[in-house]
Amino acid sequence: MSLRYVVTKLLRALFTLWLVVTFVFVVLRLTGDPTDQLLPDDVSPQIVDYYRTAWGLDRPLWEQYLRYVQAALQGDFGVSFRNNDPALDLIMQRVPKTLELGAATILAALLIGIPLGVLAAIWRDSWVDRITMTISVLGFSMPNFFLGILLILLFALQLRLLPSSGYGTWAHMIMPVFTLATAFAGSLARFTRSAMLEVLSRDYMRTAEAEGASLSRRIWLHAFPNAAIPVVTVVGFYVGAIIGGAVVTENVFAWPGVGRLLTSAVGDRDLAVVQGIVVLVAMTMVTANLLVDLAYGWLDPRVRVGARERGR
Amino acid sequence: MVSAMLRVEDLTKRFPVPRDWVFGRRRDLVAVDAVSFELAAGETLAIVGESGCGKSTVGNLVLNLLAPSDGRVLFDDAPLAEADDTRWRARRRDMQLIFQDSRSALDPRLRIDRQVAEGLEIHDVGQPQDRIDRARRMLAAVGLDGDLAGRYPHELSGGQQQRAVIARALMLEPRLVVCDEPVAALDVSVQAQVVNLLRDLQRELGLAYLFISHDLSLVRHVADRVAVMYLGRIVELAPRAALFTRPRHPYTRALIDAVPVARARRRPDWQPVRLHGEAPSPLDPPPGCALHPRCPFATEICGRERPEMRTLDDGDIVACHHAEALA
Repeated sequence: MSLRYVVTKLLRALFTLWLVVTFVFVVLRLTGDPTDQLLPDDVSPQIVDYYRTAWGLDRPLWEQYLRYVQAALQGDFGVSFRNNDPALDLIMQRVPKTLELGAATILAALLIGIPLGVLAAIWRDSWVDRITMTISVLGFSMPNFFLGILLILLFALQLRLLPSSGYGTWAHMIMPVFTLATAFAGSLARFTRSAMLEVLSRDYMRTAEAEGASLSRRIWLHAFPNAAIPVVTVVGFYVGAIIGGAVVTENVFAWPGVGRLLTSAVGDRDLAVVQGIVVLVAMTMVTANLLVDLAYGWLDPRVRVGARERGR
Repeated sequence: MVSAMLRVEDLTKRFPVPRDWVFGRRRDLVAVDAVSFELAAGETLAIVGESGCGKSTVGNLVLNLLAPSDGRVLFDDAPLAEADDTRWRARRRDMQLIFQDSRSALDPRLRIDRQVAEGLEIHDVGQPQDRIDRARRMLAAVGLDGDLAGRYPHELSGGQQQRAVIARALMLEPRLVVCDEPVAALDVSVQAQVVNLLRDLQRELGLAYLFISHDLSLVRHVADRVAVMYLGRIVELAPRAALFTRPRHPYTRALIDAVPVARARRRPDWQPVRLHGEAPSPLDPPPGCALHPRCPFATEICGRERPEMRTLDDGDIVACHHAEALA
């Protein structure tokens, strides 16, 4: 893979991030002055002015923007209006918990979705295929809050097998991971299946068979690596989405991650924290997409060489 | 006939067709209908016919990539389907195939030399480096040397890709190669090169080809014998010279007369045969002789009785009630 390919993708990723940072700034300023919300109604104008000066809200917008970008570049997203803790610290306390949930979800979804998709493609139109595809539609069309509540009703209230919410033991993870992983595994299975079907119809699969290659060799050496190219896109998208998209599920199961922090920060109009989280989610998305692009180059020689030729 | 290398006996393939609705009639599409032929070592038998006549299915059945519904394929007098796993894997080495679409016949993720060596890898021949070396020698033999061998498929032209496909097919030193429209996707100038390459390799290695094609002028160059298929059945099977100068079956005549070059070489008094209409759906073949609704020579018996394959005095095999009258 050429340096130029990597650098182009990297610059594009940075540009996207800058757009997000700017957009977040503009939108949050458009919603009004946070001092009105945070300070009691009956405080004197002097106190309001004091806080406005302390938080830099009295400066012209462009100056606020430049200060904000400059600080953000140094990893400083400002302080929480609530308790003056640095916003980044507040967020970083929550990140490991969200990552824990996200990693378990992605792992579970990959381990379930990909093999099911491969099997459904190999035994196309069999009962394995039909059952897998039916479940996968159910999986990704069921909203997370609904599935989460159903699970709580069944396993926590009726069967009393699992804790209904909270964080701590592995038992706390089962339901949130299941909730998040069903949708992901469902669409992964479908994407894997259609990508595999496409590849299985290629002549090189018949050539390999004519040469006497075993089924497992044909699937894992020829079919799956070629089918993986579109599948990687879906995985990349979900990796980004799960970090930010766990908002609903974290709230249903009271999981103390970034998603819950985001809901409470929005409720409190805690500008710095909201900004920080949105930028973090955007960074995860952009990084995931960057990794997908780099993975393409590794998986698909056509991308690799195409970039090399353009680089000449 | 003294033991032919490949013997195909009454080979039949039916594909189940999904019912139109839940209580619909269950129907089968008969893609290949009681096809029989023999192929000797070093010989080229061409199977010609329009698209959809079942000729590619015959190729897949011969290689046992599809299981026949009826009939059997014998290689060295041993039935293919009954071979156990080990014998079957060994048998694979004797029979290889070359496809029409070389782009789809090569795995886009693997370098050419690695793909060509894969057959050796599957059959555990030699050391990895030794396998690559042999693959590179084979690639050089088909005209792809040095730098080209280390490239990825998309970096080659169509003709180069087809050479790579041929090299790959020959790595296991097969005795029979099924060529399914091997040059149909190539430019005419490149076609000639690839066809000549196939003929040279046949002479050097003593290969037998089952050459599947719709292109009569090509078949005329490569085939020793020609089988003409129509709607899943062989309608005529004859040595090349006999078939082209003295076609017995109306369908064969129509095919030959449709080729401008072949027509020009005809006697001045030759009346070209024209078929009426389009080929019927193989789902719903006409009764009697499948060709009769389109055939200008059809009589009452053609719509009633299916003509069986019969051997004429000069050894040509033909399935037509009026073969003698037409010669």
